[in-house]
Amino acid sequence: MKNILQIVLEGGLKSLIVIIGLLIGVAFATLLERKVMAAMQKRRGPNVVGIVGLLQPLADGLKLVLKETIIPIVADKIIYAIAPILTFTISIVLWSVMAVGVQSVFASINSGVLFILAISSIGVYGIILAGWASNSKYAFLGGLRSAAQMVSYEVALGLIILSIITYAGTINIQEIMENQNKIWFIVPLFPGFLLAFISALAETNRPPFDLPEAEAELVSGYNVEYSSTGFALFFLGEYANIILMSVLLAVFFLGGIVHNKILGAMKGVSMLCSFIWVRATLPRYRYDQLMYLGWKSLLPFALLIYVGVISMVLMIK
Amino acid sequence: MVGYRQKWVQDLPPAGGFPKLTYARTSVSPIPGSYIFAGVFSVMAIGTYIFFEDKVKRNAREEEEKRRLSMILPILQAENDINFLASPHQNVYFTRWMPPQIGKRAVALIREI
Amino acid sequence: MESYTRAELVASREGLWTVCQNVFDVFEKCKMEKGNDPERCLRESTAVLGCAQKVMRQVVKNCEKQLDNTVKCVEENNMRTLACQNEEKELQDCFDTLVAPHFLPSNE
Repeated sequence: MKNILQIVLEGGLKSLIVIIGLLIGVAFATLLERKVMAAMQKRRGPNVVGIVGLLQPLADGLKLVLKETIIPIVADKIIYAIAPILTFTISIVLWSVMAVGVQSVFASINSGVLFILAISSIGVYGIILAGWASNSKYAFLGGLRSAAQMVSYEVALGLIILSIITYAGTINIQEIMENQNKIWFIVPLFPGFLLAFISALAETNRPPFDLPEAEAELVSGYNVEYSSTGFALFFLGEYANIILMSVLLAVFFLGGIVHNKILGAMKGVSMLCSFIWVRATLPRYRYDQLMYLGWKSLLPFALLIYVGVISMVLMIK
Repeated sequence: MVGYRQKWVQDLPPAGGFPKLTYARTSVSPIPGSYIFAGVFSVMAIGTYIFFEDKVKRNAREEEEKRRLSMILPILQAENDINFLASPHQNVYFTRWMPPQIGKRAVALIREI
Repeated sequence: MESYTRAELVASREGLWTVCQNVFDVFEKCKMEKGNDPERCLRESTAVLGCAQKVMRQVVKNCEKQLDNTVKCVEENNMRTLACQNEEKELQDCFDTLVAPHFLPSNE
């Protein structure tokens, strides 16, 4: 048996590896997005700072840190400070059950998907708290709208994930990857893949469903009153969520990322590039169109897919 | 083609006028939609067949694993019982506590008959 | 009364079953007849636990290396024993060589 010191040191080292790896990944994901979007618009992205712009995230981080932090006088200071920390922490915690090697998981629990679904539902709190604590009408309404959008698309995404779990018969992430040895789940469950992709886009407030965020550019998103550090934490949390969703799509539909690491990384990055591709291609949805889509189109379709999967799985039991 | 002696050419439409603009709604793919649906559904059916073949074998393996685990069940149940009796086993919570399921192997044997 | 992990018990299930089969059957019959009450089957429970402890103590004393290999393999495969046939065969051979002197009457 190991003693307590060994356990704490091992856990600390593993968590440090996960966090630092995630932060580096998030930093370069911002750069990747700008370069890929630029390439799709026939221009170069940032290429001044480093060799091909590789030091751009560092420059962005430095700028954000050196900015002046403005806190509104009428804001609720404690919750105003907690909200971005909550969002960022939740985005990092979700990565603890993601397996990146055959045995390299930070926490190899037998119900990994349940953990991800549950904790990502807590992420909505960060947005509500941010909008509410800013004590500004526009931020409050923006926060409510963004939270409503996230919750609506979580339902459809949850149903699709439920179909994947029923299909694979297990709720363990590594087992789901094992089940795709013969054939990836994208082939039998192709409509599920499309639905999960759209729901993941809306879940992470990503274009074309980014009305709450776009409004922060204008006047009223949930993070309009945040500057420098708070904004940086929201930004990093959002990109960590995006990378997590793209890796989850690769795990559930494209056969997992553990057996062949280079191919697995390519799968994850191709999903990330698809997210960026959709951003560069499609126009934005208006909020009521977004809500109609979530409840009237995606949810019935997801229910249909779930019923189909259940009937198929029951036939072979 | 401008001759080098001409100084100024009027910018006229080409001979015969410009071609007509198509402003009606057009559909993009020349393949009929039903063919695309049929193709996708046939690929999905083949994928489902391959997956279910593998799944049946996997289920058989899981069944075997459960059977092996059931060979150990009496020891686990006996340990549980003795620990329960050794502890101050009173229900201090306001719950509808139910005892753990035991006799699974026996029940399974009965079902097999 | 030392406790053994579930992986250790599953790894040496064949040996345990050959030696302690009668005790297990008596325990199960008692449970089926007298219901789930722990107090009424206390004697059979202690018998089962004693038999298991007896066998496992011998296994740990003599076959420790094979047992450790099997347990490591089982735990790495999410408690699957079908992936660990080789290590289990080694453990079974080691058990057969040491079962014979200790539990001879039950080994036919």
